[in-house]
Amino acid sequence: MSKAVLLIFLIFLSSSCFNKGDCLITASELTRIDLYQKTDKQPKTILFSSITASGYGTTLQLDSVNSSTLLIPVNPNGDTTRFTFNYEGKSDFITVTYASATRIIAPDCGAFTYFSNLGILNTSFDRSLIKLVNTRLLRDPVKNNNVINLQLFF
Amino acid sequence: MLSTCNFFFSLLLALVTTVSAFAQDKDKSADTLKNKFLPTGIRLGTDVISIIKSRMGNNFSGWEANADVDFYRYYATLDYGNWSRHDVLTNGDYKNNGTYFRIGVDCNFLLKDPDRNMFFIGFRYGHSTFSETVNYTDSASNFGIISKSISNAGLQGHWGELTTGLRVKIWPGFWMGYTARMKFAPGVKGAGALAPYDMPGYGLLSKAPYWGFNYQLFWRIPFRKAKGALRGK
Repeated sequence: MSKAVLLIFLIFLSSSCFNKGDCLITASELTRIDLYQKTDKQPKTILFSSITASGYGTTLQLDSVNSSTLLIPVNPNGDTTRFTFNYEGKSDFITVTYASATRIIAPDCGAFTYFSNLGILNTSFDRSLIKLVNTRLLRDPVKNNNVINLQLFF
Repeated sequence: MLSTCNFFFSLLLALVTTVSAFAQDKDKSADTLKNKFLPTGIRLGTDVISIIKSRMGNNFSGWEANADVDFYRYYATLDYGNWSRHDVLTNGDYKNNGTYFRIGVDCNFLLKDPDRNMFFIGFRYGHSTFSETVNYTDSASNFGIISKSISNAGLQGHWGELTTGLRVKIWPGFWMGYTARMKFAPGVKGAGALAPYDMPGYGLLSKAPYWGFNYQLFWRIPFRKAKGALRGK
């Protein structure tokens, strides 16, 4: 019996005592799309004349993007956003769906919207050339980068 | 940090009491009580910390009523309380409101104390019914400043607790004491787009285990006079 009491006290003593959450904010509204060559699977840099994110009456346009990594925001007021890519005289789109949930980290940190359940509703790309890697939109606050959500092969 | 120090001081006190309690348990010779599992009275109480927090602060309002009934060394306990909280966030505000109850059993290790002083270890099952709302602004959005108001209504939550504490008789019929709680395994049903944040009776849901501490006043209403050494008026 005395061992049981001692065990209970050890459980009490070994548990965390901090009341406040750490302000490590991982919420992000940015979808990370990495671009690759479909032949050798190496990163591919493409010059986009413009990329738009539109949904619920709002359109956001990014001009002259030249990168192998794209960070495109989803509309926080809805659950679908259409990404339109204008490049090399062509225009393609991906419509993504997602769910959002609000989390309060701590009063000193605030409330944030977290996006999850990312999916592809429709696209003009060849579906076999799009790979869904991660369904949650998250930012690593230590490395200061976003997790890869989609891989797009050209 | 102050609450952590208080908690460990209380644990130390409880540990010292445990040693004396077990020393007392070794004397098993004189248990002459008949019908020892029949209850002899009900103790009704309230939590002083909830009352003080409600008066002193502006972000918490609540109260808690407690009752226990003795069955020899075991005490059936029931707690019922109300809890509402208003936190100012860096980008908005959060409010909740709800009621909760806990039901459980305490095992008293000061069985032969004539004043019904207690050092106990126990277990509780807690249940909470509550609603919550957050209003906040996201100014970092690429789509401009986003203002949101999100609510969860009619949430049902539950958790478990390991408890320990003391009850000390101050006057005839009046006890004071504390209960320290290690709350664990919280669960909430019915949440929508807002991840439940603070559950009445439990606290911050992101913390498991989570600590609780009550300082309580008790008044005892005897049913019948205990035979033997106990003097429980």
